[in-house]
Amino acid sequence: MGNLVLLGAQFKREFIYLKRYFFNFLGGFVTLYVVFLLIFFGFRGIAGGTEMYGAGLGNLIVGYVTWVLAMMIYQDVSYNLFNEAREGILEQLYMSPFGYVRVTSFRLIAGLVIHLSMSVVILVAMMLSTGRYLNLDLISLVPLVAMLLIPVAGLGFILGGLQLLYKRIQSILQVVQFLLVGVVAAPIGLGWTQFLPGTLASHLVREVMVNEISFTSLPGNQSLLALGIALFYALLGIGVFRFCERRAMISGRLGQF
Amino acid sequence: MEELLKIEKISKTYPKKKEKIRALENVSFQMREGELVGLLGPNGAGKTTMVKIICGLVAPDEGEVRVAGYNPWKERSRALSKLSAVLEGNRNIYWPLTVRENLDFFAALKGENPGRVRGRIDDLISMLNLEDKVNVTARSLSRGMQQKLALAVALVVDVPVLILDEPTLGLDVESALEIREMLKNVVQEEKKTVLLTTHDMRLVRAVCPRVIIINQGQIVTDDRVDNLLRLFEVKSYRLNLGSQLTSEQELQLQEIENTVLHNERGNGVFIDINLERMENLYRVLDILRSSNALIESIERKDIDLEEVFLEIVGRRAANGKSGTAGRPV
Repeated sequence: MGNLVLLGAQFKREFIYLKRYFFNFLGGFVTLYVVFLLIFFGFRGIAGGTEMYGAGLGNLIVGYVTWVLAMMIYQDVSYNLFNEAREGILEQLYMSPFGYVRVTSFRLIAGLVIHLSMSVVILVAMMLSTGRYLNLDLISLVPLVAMLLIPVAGLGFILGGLQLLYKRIQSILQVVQFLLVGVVAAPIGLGWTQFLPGTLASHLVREVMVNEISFTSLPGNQSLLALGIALFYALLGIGVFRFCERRAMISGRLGQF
Repeated sequence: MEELLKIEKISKTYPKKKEKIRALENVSFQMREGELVGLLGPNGAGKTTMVKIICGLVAPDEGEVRVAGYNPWKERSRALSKLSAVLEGNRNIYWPLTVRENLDFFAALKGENPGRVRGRIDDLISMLNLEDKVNVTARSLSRGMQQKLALAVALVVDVPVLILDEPTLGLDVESALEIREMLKNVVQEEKKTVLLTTHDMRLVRAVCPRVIIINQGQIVTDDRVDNLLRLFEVKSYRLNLGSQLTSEQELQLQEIENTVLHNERGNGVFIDINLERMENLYRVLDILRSSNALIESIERKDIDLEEVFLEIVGRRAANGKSGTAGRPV
């Protein structure tokens, strides 16, 4: 019951923020859309006016939208921790009987609803702008998107934990944010790349959206591996976060930013 | 009565480069249900470290804390469900949320459905005179109101232990008085156990029957305020003079032990005399009589808590009993 109450409170807070800072949200949305258009038309310009079409364009759209989602989730964990410390609220959240990881995870879930809605709007706008319509098989996509975002959240927890110890590491956070482009877009053919956080799941998302393969028709071993990778990075992220948190509490630097 | 807060032999050092700084050394005390205790000490004495250890935010090197019987490290969730805190230097509230939204959110953060504590939230809003600001964001409130909201947030769920780190710091007189009244109320009406750290001696005098004075990481005094005042009570009188003294008389007065001359331009001349030795008084009177100085009034001078605090902290330092806390070990 308490968990539902906390989850509800996080949803309410996220929506209040969305309403109160709507133009900021809208600005972010427009920026992401404009960046996509620049990439799309830029590519056409470089290719001497050649039209992008077929799987290439589909992969570009899916790659872009999965990167946007991954980036938002990653930022939600890593940047919010810094903001909470700067706003002097971090220690209050730590004093919740639920524990900070659960409080943050629930905020993440609440934020995800907003991010997913935003991503869907961007996706539709991209499809309308490019004329390339993709397969939106929600039953297949929901578990795959979860397997994409869970390891990214784990990565966010690792960076968040390091932030508790080393404080101002914004430059590293920004670098990782752009490395996510490579992570979600990396081909799995190299073998080792499929073990990166979200890479295999991102590949499977492309298979569903671009090649119109349903979840049940995807190779079972790949789906299972994507699930295992998701759980591995989630546990690793929480483990590293808890270790760093403990170190920060021993050194008395938890709320000092 | 039940012991709701138990601190047993807590020691804490902080690593600093290659050395360690001792913040607390072997600190022990207990607080019973419904007790309001002031934790006093100069800056850097270890008060905030103590508060953060109780709240489970800083890990002690040695010793144990029990909040309503639970250890904040081993039984974190249970212990934290029994306490609330307002920490100094923190905002403690979300600035983009309104007064009511903050109260709702923090009730949920403690696991309480905001709908079920609606009555309590309304009472807190009313008690702190925040009715007109219910729908105003915390960012738009004055400093005093933000502090009152932080206090209300800590009280939104009925927990038995309340930790307040400098709750009146930087507040105007009116806001400080409101918080003082609220504190009295939560102890008297709700029987909460409150640990209060502050430098505001008027607040301590008004609300704390007992104080713990901590200096350089060690408890130097743990006693009732009345006992401390009695212990340090001296027969001290103030002579209010109606005329200026000559510089020769001033020099003579300064030579008398336990006698302090205050020559405040515009506010007259005062002489404080400690009557532990009666001959001091006779010597002062002889000096004043030699110039026919006019004595306008004689009043008994009561010692206040601030002087007791300075006496205890100063005496400890002078006796060289300050231990190693706050210093490299």
